[in-house]
Amino acid sequence: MERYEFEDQISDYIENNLTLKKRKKFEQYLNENKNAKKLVDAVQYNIKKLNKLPKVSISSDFNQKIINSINDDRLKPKIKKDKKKKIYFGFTPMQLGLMFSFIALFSLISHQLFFKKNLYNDSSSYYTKMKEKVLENNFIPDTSRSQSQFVKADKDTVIKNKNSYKGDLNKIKLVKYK
Amino acid sequence: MTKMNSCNLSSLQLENRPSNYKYTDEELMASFQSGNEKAYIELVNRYKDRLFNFAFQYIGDFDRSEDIVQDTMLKVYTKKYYYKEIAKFSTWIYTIAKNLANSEYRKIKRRKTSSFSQLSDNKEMPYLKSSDLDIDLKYEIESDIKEINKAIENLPEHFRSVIILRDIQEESYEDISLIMDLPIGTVKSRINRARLQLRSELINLKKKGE
Repeated sequence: MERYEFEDQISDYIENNLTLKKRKKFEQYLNENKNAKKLVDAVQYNIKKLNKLPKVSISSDFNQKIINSINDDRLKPKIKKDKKKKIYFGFTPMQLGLMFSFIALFSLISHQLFFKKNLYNDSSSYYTKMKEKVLENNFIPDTSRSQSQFVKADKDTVIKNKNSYKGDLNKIKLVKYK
Repeated sequence: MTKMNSCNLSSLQLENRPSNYKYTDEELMASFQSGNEKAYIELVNRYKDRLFNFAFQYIGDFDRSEDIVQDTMLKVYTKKYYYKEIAKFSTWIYTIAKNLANSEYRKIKRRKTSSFSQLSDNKEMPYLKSSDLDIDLKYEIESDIKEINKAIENLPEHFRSVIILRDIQEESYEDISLIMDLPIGTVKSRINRARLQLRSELINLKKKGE
């Protein structure tokens, strides 16, 4: 028998749960090892000590405390019912509020992105129409429009399409300095 | 709403049974489930001290142990319909108490406030308060208890609960297996290991004492 096997069987030996064959083997090991015998005796002694530990008693007014707590507890569910949270479409007002703010934020951002994109791509925009007119070389600026609108359109034209109409830059300058 | 009053247990009479008949826990629980609150009080009387001893050995604090027993009894009261007669009542109530004691022990450990050793060092042992023991004998028993309590406290959590249930509460392996929700083989091996470790803890404590 090995040491580990012996240690595993100590409780079974003390509680008389070993088969006859195993018991004989165990006792043989005990006779051969004095320390093993000491260990078994010590464990047995500790079990007896634990069994004989004096018992503690709960306070004498424990039953009354329990009855009081139960009577208090009976009132609690009613209070809880009154404080029950309101739920709309399966969401609390807090969750709904958060959801709506996220949706509003999302649409605001996407609208702004969409608007910027259209400024350059929409064929019906004022910028595109002006560009077409410039390219036709027959452009006469519309004086009814404000100065700032022309300046903006001119700047964009110079930056974006400088290479495409190099020869017409003078005309644009005329517009700018008018 | 009717309030619960203190019950005279001598008047406890369920169905047509003789007056000296001793009801089983399961019968009492069934009666309580059908509305008999006297049966509940009888169960409280049967288990309050056993559970208190268990909790006290587990966390080592007199007041907190009483709170644990109180919470256990309240849970039995409020969750009475959760109990099904397929299990023994004792294992059900011990499982509740063990879980509450376990979470209380963790709280104590986290807060690092009062501990088992503090209690055993600073307070008089509650069970020896009113005894008529000889002073020398009382001192001997007290120091023995303190030593054992310290050794139990030093055991890991999974060893402590099984050794308390087996060697102090004297529960069967089957019941411990149900309370701990562990296979019986694991329970047996844990108890064996716990006993060996307890022995080395006691030797270490003695060495320190000398």
